[in-house]
Amino acid sequence: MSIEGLPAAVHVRGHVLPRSDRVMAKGWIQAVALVGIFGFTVLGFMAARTYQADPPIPDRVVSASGEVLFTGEDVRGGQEVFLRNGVMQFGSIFGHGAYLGPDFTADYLHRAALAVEAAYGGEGTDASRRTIEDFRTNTYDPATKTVVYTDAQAAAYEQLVEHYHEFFANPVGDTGLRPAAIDDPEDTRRLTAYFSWSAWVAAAERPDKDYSYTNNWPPEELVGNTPTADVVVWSVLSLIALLAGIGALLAVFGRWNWLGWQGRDQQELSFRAPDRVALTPSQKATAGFFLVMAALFLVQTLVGVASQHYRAEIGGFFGVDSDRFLPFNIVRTWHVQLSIFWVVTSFLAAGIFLTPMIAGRKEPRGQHVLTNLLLGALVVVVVGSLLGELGGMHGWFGDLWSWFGMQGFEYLDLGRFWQILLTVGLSFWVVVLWRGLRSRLAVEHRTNMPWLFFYAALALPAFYAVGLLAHPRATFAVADFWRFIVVHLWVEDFLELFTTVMVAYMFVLLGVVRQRVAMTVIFLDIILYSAGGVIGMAHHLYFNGEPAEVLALGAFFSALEVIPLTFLTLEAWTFLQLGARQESSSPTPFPHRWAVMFLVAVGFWNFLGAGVFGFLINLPIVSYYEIGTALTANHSHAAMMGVYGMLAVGFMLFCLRYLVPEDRWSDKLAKISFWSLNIGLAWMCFVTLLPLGVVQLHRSVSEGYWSARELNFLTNDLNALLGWLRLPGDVVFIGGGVLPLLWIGFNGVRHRGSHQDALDDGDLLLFTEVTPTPTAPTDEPAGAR
Amino acid sequence: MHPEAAFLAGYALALTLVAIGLESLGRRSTDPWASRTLAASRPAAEHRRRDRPERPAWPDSDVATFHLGLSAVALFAAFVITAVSVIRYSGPIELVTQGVLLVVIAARVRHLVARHRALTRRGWRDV
Repeated sequence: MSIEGLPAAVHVRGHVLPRSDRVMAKGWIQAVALVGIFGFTVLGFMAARTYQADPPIPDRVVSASGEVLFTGEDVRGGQEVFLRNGVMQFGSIFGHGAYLGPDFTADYLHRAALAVEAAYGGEGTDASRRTIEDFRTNTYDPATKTVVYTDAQAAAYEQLVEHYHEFFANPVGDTGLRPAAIDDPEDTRRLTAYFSWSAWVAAAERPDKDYSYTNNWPPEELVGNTPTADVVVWSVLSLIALLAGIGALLAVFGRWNWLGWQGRDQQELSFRAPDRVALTPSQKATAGFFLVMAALFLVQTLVGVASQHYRAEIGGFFGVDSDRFLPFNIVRTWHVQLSIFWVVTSFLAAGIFLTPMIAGRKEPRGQHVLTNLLLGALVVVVVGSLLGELGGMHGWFGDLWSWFGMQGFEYLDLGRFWQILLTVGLSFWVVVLWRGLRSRLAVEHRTNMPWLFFYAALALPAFYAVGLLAHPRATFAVADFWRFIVVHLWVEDFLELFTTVMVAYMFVLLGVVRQRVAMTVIFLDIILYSAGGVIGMAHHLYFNGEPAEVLALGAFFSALEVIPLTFLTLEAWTFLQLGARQESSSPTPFPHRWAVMFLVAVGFWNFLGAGVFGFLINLPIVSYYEIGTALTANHSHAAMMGVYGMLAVGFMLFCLRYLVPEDRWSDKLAKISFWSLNIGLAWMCFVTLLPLGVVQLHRSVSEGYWSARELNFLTNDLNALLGWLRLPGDVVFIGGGVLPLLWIGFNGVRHRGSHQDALDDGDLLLFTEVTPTPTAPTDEPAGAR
Repeated sequence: MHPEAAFLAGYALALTLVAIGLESLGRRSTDPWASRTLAASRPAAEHRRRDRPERPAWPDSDVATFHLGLSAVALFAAFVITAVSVIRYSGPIELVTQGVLLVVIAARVRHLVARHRALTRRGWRDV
């Protein structure tokens, strides 16, 4: 570590080289460290509380007469049946999972409460009071680890064992699941035990509290589940946090107007024509990644269409009994898994592509071999895990189902073997980057931009690996906590960080901004995301069995997440302005028009999809009625595709602009893809998901949550019509948006060999300065020197 | 008025307002030389500005088109939602509401078409 102004001596290949000075002031680094430490300390506190306040799984549940109804092993076994058969990708539990099937917590609770009320004489004050008393009284005895059901509850349980057997073993289908999906009576009995336990957790009051383990979720009048004081109060306070945060952001930007993206000074730049920028062998090898990315994107959209079609036509696909071979839960599993795979494929490739430019020198020998090896491993993991999920649902792997088949947690559906392989693959990718960067890292201060790039890359395997803690036999709240470390912290924060660093680096390498400006943006991004995003992860955990303090922290800090999204939207506009300036100041054309337009689209969708649609469902009081409805799907599509999808396509176009020869490059295709993806996504949200979500939310508040999630309601004629209306948008999205990318990706692979090789370090430059200034900067990357 | 018809009408109206908002947002100048971001380089910029062509260079040209495009998507969505409502509900109050909405949507479509024509013929700054 060097002292400011006094470079430390570094030995590189026998030479002693000085490390460069730190670019950012110490205050920035301290601020990042402090906010990061605060965020992760609170996250650690929440992890500890998750284990301490975890709803118990009793050793046995008995009737008032002492008959054992089911055991703790039945509950755990039921969770395994639930996961192994992909039921979480059909319906949900504690509101988490897919949205076609019912939420089984709410469904069991409602059906059981109706049965109990009927046993007490039907609708009436006394029957209602006794029903509420039965469900809210916590009979769990920690000494004997036993829960006692009243006779009415026990009878309801027995009825529901039959009901769920009929539902899952139904030979006709017509539910989106394959016919006779789970027909072993022992499996369906355990599944019912699992649902029954979840309903007990949802209604029985926590010791010394007047609300249930799930903060009284789901809303269910029959058992007295209404919003708690915490749900209402923290909704209001999170609104205040949002208003104060937005005000503070605008005030800070008004006060220090040097924050954010700033253009270079008056220097004239000349962009090097893409075919004059030489490429290294590993950069050429990334063409394969982009072709694979486009192919995975295509498959992801096709299986997405298939899953959406079940909402419009539950019985099959235009008359074909598609549920026999491609039921809803398998196509949705693939849709969700591929959404991560194709996006990550692009990010990995873009990282490898940028590395030689960041290093500013030719790469070490064999780098392209490792790159190709990584691509091969990626294909094996993707194909293997997707086939494994299909086989897992059919029981091909016996006791090894969770290793090679369907592990079953939404977004962590792939078997543990594939999960470990993917983590190893991501780690291998970091090694590839390190090999390419190490000569540069050796001479850079450890807080400078090349190191930030490396740290951001290093975080990806590290945080993805946390998902391994979500084990099929873990209790749901514990598994869900670690699952959301991947779904939220890995995807929403660390992928966001990595992409921010990459976008910043692209602009530095293109000469659009100086390194110091890019680093300011990165540091600001880390501070803002650490403040809101890390703790804000708990907004996923309001009602899954976590204690009320986790709900409070999640509500308050996740409201702050909108602030960096607003910041990024303001910044996206500046991208345009900077692009305009470079276009008009350079005697050569700016080659990345459509890559930059995709980044602008990222800004738009970041605000609308992540900010507006995300905040729409973020308040605990809204989430209480809304969780697991189409409003969640509306947010996830607009944010995942709108932000990460558009970023992945933007990175693809940036890299392929160099890989595809000038005479083969088509700006027109990129333009068609840009418009089609944006129009298709807007259509998907505005015509189907948003109105459907609003209708469902209204139903949830007026009739009950269970009703808004009922298959009969979801497939009624209005909702089915809204589903059909999505069709034209999907056609535009796939036909106009994805297929052109596949063709561009194909051209990248086909013609990458025709590009000149990098002979010396200067060949890797993306621009040259036409008018040198008297005060030459000292903080430029090698690529810009 | 049937609640579902009221919802569809309200939603179509909201989409129309979104379309109007997006279109007017696209009218705003994105002149990079006027922004605080590039304030430091304004003197040199002003010099160059005189040499700039009548029709603004990318991305100014695309910004207006981008907003027009999104506005058109929102308007078309409003039309489709209203058309669905017409098919499902044909009571007098519903028909009047749907008729008014369709007239408003048609007027906005006409306006968008005119804007698009002017944009492609004369350059967006003159529109």
